Amino acid sequence: MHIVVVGLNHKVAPVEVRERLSIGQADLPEALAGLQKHVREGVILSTCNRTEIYGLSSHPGTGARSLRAFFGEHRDLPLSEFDLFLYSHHELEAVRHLFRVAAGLDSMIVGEPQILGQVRQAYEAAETGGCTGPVLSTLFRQAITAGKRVQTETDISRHAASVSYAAVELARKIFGDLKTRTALIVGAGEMAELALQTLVDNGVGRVMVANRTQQRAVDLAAQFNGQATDLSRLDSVLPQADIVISSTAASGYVLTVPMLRAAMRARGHRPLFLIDIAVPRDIDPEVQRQENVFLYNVDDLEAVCQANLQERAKEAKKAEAIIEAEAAKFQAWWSSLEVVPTITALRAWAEEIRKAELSKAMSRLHGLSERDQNTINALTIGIVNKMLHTPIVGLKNDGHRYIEAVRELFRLDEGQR
Amino acid sequence: MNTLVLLGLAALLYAGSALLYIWFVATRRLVLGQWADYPLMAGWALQSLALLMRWTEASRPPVTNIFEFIAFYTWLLVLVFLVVERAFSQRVLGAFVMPLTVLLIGVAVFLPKDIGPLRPILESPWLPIHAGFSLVAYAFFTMSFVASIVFLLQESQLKGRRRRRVYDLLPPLETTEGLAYRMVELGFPFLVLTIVTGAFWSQTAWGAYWSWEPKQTASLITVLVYAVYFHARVAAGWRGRRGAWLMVAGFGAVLITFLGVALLSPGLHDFAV
Repeated sequence: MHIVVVGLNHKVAPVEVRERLSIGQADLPEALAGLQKHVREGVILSTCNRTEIYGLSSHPGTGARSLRAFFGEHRDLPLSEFDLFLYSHHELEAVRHLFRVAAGLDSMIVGEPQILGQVRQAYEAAETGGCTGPVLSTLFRQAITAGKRVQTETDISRHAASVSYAAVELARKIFGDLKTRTALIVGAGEMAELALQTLVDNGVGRVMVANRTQQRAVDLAAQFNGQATDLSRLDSVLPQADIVISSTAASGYVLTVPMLRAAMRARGHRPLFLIDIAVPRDIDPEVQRQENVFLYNVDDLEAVCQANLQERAKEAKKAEAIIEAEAAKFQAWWSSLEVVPTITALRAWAEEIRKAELSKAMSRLHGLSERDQNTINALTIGIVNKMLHTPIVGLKNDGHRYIEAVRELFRLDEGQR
Repeated sequence: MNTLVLLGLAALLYAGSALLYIWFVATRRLVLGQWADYPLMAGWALQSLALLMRWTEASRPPVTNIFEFIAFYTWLLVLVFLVVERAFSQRVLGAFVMPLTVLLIGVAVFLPKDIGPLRPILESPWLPIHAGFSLVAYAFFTMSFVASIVFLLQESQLKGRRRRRVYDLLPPLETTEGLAYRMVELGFPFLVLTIVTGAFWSQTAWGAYWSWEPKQTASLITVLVYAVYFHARVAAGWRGRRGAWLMVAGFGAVLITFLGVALLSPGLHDFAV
């Protein structure tokens, strides 16, 4: 019984290759059914950044080979085209790999929490498809536990790693609760709208949209259930905003020092958070001099993310330690699974030989008293036990190192007993 | 079990609490901040006992010398902090308030603590009222000072776009500023009452409401600083860095009023017989 994983991720394969080999939610049941022909137990994990197949197979080498073949079969692609992008891990390495993936350590943004849910979904889908068994069930459940531990015991997902979340983090640092705050977006643009969406997702109460084009303002406002206004009326809406995201195509400053001074006066100098996404900049940097005005441009937000990612890297070390501990737990369980039957089989094999040899000898020995017969019997038992004692202790303590060898050397798998 | 022993034990418990708060800020583990409450409350209970004992021993409220003043004032400060901690859910302030409290009690322990006779003039019902009001005001102003310092730390980090781990624990700007303002709002009337009761007492004892005595003058300056703060906040919108610095200046005035005057120039408020 061997645990093996074959797959590809963002680190080894470009998106064009990943998208060809990915297995969508809709295709999953069919894929899982096909997988069962290759391995005894299997789970398919397919996200936008990785597709991995975990399997439990009877033989080490063929397990990985057949999983690679499965990739090709499922997608009707010749193996040679993508084989070089696939990696494979076995046994403890496979276990460690899965645990690291579940904890977010293998993700593009280290510490991202979504992957844990995706691992859980992959396991549940395999369970529904009847593809899992005792080993992979335990493996995946333990992986999810390890992932949860990393999430709660380290700060690895704690701080914003994207510009939009950095904006939310800063807004919270200034205002605390965002429920009663108003966000104003001036202009439009992917990054600005994403930042606005993230703010709204995190509780911002009210949204206002200002745009040069009336229609654009109205459309955007409808998206956020907000209030549209014309750019010419910016002066009057500015005081109502606590958070301003500016992203226009204007070549000069849209928000000037006098504008901001007036706005601050009108809002009683309550704090104001300005995010300037535009290049060239929309907001005159001099406005920072004003009290309670906090101006951040994209570079600043990026710097916040960079600093956060460094923190995450530090936390990753803690996470690796947790993963090692959890992997060791699984390994112990896994070993115990195989050790007992192996010891039983070894004893049975030895016992068969002992009985056979004893009866051969007894048939040639005549005139032995019952006491003598017992002595000889005890002799054979003693020899067998003493010879097996050290190997059995070795198996009990370090099973995973020896089980393979013992089963092979003593041909324990031949002729099921 | 005498007053000093109880006070010492309370200080030890406060020190334990201070350490837990500081550790909390360093490691950002919430449990530490929660545990810090236990030695804190235990210490406060002991300090309450100590003050009660002192009161009964001396048969008068413990406001007759600097030692008693500090003992009572720290008791009030811890009380204000406990309430603020509940109301604003801000444990971080503990890392500032508790060490300060321990330091003050530490200083108080070395001050003369004998229950000596009072100057006849101080044997008056005005004493506990006037002194009590002043201590309440000082406790509130100390809290506003701590909150302002925390505000200034956070504000400078946000303005300067610096990033240091410890800042993450600091409460949001609006919360700290709001807290600081609230503390001044609460402390100010007590300060005014202190001056007013002092004036009436002065009239009955020395026949003059005001004599420009050092402490009186210093209190007046303190009142002025905080009054300027109120006006600046409302009229000129000093809700940010400038307002915070003004509150720090106000606390400076409080310190001068309380300590500077008592130590540097004796006057009406001299306790010695």
